[in-house]
Amino acid sequence: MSSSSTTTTTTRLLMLKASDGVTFEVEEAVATKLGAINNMVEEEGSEDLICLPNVNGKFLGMVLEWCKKHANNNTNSDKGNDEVNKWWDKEFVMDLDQNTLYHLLMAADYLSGTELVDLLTEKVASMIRGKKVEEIRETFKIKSDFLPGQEEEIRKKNSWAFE
Amino acid sequence: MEDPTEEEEDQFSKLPDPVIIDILSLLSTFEAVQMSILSKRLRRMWYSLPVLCFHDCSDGGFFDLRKFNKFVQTCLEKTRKNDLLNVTDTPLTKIEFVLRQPQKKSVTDDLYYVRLWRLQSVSLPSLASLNLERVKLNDEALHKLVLGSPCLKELILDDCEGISRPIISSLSLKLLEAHSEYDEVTFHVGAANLESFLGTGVAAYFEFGLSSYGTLRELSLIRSRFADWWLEELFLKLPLLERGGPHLSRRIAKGLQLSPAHSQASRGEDKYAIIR
Repeated sequence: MSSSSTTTTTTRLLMLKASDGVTFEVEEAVATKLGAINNMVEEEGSEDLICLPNVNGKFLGMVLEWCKKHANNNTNSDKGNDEVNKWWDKEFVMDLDQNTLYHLLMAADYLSGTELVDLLTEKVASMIRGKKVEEIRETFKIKSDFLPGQEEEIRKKNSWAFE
Repeated sequence: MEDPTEEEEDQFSKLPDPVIIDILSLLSTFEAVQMSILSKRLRRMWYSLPVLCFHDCSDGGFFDLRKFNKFVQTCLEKTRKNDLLNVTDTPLTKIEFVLRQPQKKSVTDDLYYVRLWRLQSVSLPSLASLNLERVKLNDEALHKLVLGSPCLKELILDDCEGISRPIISSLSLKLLEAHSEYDEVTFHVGAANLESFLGTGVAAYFEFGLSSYGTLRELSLIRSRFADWWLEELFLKLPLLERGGPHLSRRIAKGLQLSPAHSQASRGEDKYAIIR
């Protein structure tokens, strides 16, 4: 990068390059909501292009959309804004299909977006709560890798939990 | 994304262990244990959760009490958290016991976890959140629990039986909620870094000790009994709640919420406006 970082308060822009080559230009304050990027910025200093080979453009875009929403209220942390963000978060996860949810969670985890991971794990937990075991298996299509009869045996042995 | 059959795949099981542990930690222990029947990998995952969360009721109603007790006991034994109170490296971050169903005393006494409170010393170095609802314990046990949890941030005590003058002394505590509806309890609070306090119930009284509460931003007393002088004295310890005129006018405090039950105050109730 030829452009040297400025010492003035002008917002610095970072280029983030996803695994499929899609690039995003974002303000540093937005991107550093992600712990991994924050570390890179601190370590590498003037490097403005960051390659993220583990994240697809579609999901990186969504992660950054979340970051953008949540970066603004650092300066302005009054209650009203908190409420607005909670609503926004709710909408953000409301209609996620499992595929998107999975990839977002993997991306957020990889990028150390702790708050976003919290939001997404809570979404997954809410899909589990109040369901019977078989319904959970059905929901997430979890295949049993127990031997035939083994599951029954475990249930019997652990009647304290499964009765 | 690349693979069109991905939709049908089990993506839950592809999540890394720490993420699955995060997810299971958000569930009650009962729900987490239920998950163990799903696959070999999930079989013992719940053992290492940093959370103990027991509710004697679910959406479907109350659990059978005897089964519930057996469940709690077995979980504690299996995870070797039965000696959690004198093990120094317990990574527990959250303990929650929420008991809602009516219980006969004799049954409560048998509860395994009640015996936990009787242990000599307590050390829960990672515990951040403790929520006890209608759990039977005693002043000394509660005091020890709080003292033994140097990272405790959140303490919720809801109608706990057996306490009368508990001392809640903690420098890490940020949020305290104390509720007592039936048994008269005087909470002796010594938590200089508290940020939020909620006291509710006609049987709950509070003593805030001598220290000042320089970080307290939210104070709510709902259906509480207190005298004017008590409130006046309290305000002296709360610099962040701006104090207005001598008659506790509407401007008194930002972040203060009061709604006395039968205020012992002689100057009427309407002055305790809710100010947010």
